[in-house]
Amino acid sequence: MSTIRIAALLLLVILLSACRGQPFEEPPRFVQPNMHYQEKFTYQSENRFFEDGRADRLPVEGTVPRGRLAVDVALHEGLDENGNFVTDLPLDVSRSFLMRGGERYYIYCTPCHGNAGDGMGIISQRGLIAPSFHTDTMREMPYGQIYSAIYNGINTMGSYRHQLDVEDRWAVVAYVRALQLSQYASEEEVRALGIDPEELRAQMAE
Amino acid sequence: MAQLFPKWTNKLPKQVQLLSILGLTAVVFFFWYFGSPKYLEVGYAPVQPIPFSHQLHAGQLGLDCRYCHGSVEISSAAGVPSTQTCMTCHEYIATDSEKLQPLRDSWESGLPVEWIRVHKLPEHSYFNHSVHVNVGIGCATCHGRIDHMEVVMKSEPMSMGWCLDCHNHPEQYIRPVEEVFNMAYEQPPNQYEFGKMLVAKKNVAGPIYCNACHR
Repeated sequence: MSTIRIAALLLLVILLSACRGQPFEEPPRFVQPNMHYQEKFTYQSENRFFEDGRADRLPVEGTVPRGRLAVDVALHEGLDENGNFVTDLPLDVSRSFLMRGGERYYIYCTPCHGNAGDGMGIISQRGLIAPSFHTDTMREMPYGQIYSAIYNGINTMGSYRHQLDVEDRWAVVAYVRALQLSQYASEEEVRALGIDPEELRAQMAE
Repeated sequence: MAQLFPKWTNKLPKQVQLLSILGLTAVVFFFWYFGSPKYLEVGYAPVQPIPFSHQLHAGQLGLDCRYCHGSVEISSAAGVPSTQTCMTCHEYIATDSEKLQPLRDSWESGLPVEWIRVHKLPEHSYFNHSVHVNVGIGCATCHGRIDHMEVVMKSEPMSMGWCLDCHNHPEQYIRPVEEVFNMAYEQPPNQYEFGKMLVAKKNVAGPIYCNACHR
């Protein structure tokens, strides 16, 4: 076989092999797989030793993780000693607390409730309509009841207690209240903040 | 006396030389090109038990990454969402979809949906998501435009050299912390100066000592 033929063959092999970045479905192979996979379990990995196949074990029933004991009912469930909804925030409100609430609201609540809390989130296009926060019932709702909706879920809304920890839940409650105020402010209140309502209207019209 | 070597052997040394040069080059090229994670790992797009579309959920619906990958800001792992997270919507939406049968099975049995991990570092390296997202390394910087992917595909090699590229010069990729979860973020034209400013502001010093990742 001539040199040229062998060279051509090599070139052909290279040209016929796939290029980088082609999608493929089988798990990647490695040139040197040493220590790539180790005899250990990482988060959310599989362990067939257990019947359910989870390497992460669920907490033993009746136990509470360290630091998660919810003794303060007002804080953790939004209920006072008589089992009624608390009518005040159990945490101090600061600017950063509200900002945090706004951020969490944006992540977890806007898909259904919408950015303005009017229930016109993206899910409303799929047939699930969340109630607006800007009705009298919603405006008069005690803080504890809004908290309870997040904590326990309400109607078709599931519980968000696993997505939001206790401070974040109250931060969202505070933010929902702020949203309600923002959508129901009188002209005097807006002026008191140093904003001209006429200017605002002109901006909105644009 | 007959010739010990026939005439064609005159050409042999030249042919051997040429072939070995070509052959060695080919071997080096082969390993350089096909042995790199850029070839072996980029493009990994396994078939998942449920054909979940990020293009629909993160793209069209515009769900924030953290709606499902909720521990990304506080933990080393971004976390694969629990069945419960899916069911916050899918208890009511697409309830008769055949594709979602594994999800409903999981919801009833309490056993997890066995998603296949796409982005996996070798187990001798330790990566922490929270450190990165909290200083301004965007999701899309490492994972690509997930919101455009019908099927998630590994789009970066995630090799050591690739990590060190950014650890040595984070100003190339850093973005404001508020933009980390914004998939459509585009770098400003003055990324170098802007990046330098952000690096200084966040006091970013990507560690380059072995022990930072290999523990």
